[in-house]
Amino acid sequence: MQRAGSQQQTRRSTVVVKAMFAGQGMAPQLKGAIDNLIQSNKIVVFMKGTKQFPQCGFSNTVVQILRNVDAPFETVNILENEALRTGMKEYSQWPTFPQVYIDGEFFGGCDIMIEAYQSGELTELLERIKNE
Amino acid sequence: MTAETEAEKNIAAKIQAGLNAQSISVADTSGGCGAMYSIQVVSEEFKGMSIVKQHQLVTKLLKEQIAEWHGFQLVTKAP
Repeated sequence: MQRAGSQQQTRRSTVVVKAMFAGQGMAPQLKGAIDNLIQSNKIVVFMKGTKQFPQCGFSNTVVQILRNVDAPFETVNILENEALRTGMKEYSQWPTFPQVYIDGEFFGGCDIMIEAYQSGELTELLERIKNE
Repeated sequence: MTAETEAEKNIAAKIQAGLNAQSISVADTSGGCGAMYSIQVVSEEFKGMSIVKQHQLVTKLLKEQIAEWHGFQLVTKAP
């Protein structure tokens, strides 16, 4: 069941990628796909590179933190498309990547993740949303 | 206000123009290349705001500059 779940999540990320090419900028389909992705996964990271191959130190740090707390998470590689990269800065009202969404809400970038991880706030939050 | 070079002063000024800050500190951490900055802002206006909202307030003021940087560290707090 673990595998089926992650296949489903990969399909959703593919939906985002396909929607990107359907319009310019933050087209309604793209926005809808992102809304859906964020609502359907507890943790989504918009980052440079992929979970397996992060392409930036800050994005990598976030991936490692989430691995350390053993939390399942989806990642979206914003380097794959300029429209997504530019669009996400508007969508999140955040000028940089990585951008972390937890439980459907924008949580923060790398610095905020480090702070939350070190203070224990991240583990607390993950515990809380696990039971929802 | 801690900002020494022209570029650092410009950034600090932009922040000051947009919000009433008790203290602003801007430091180029890219060896003078204007590529990375470390910024700290202390302001009454941050009272009661989440960190994300505090950061969004500052980054909105620096939108054009940020577009040219590689990255930055931002620390914000209420006095």
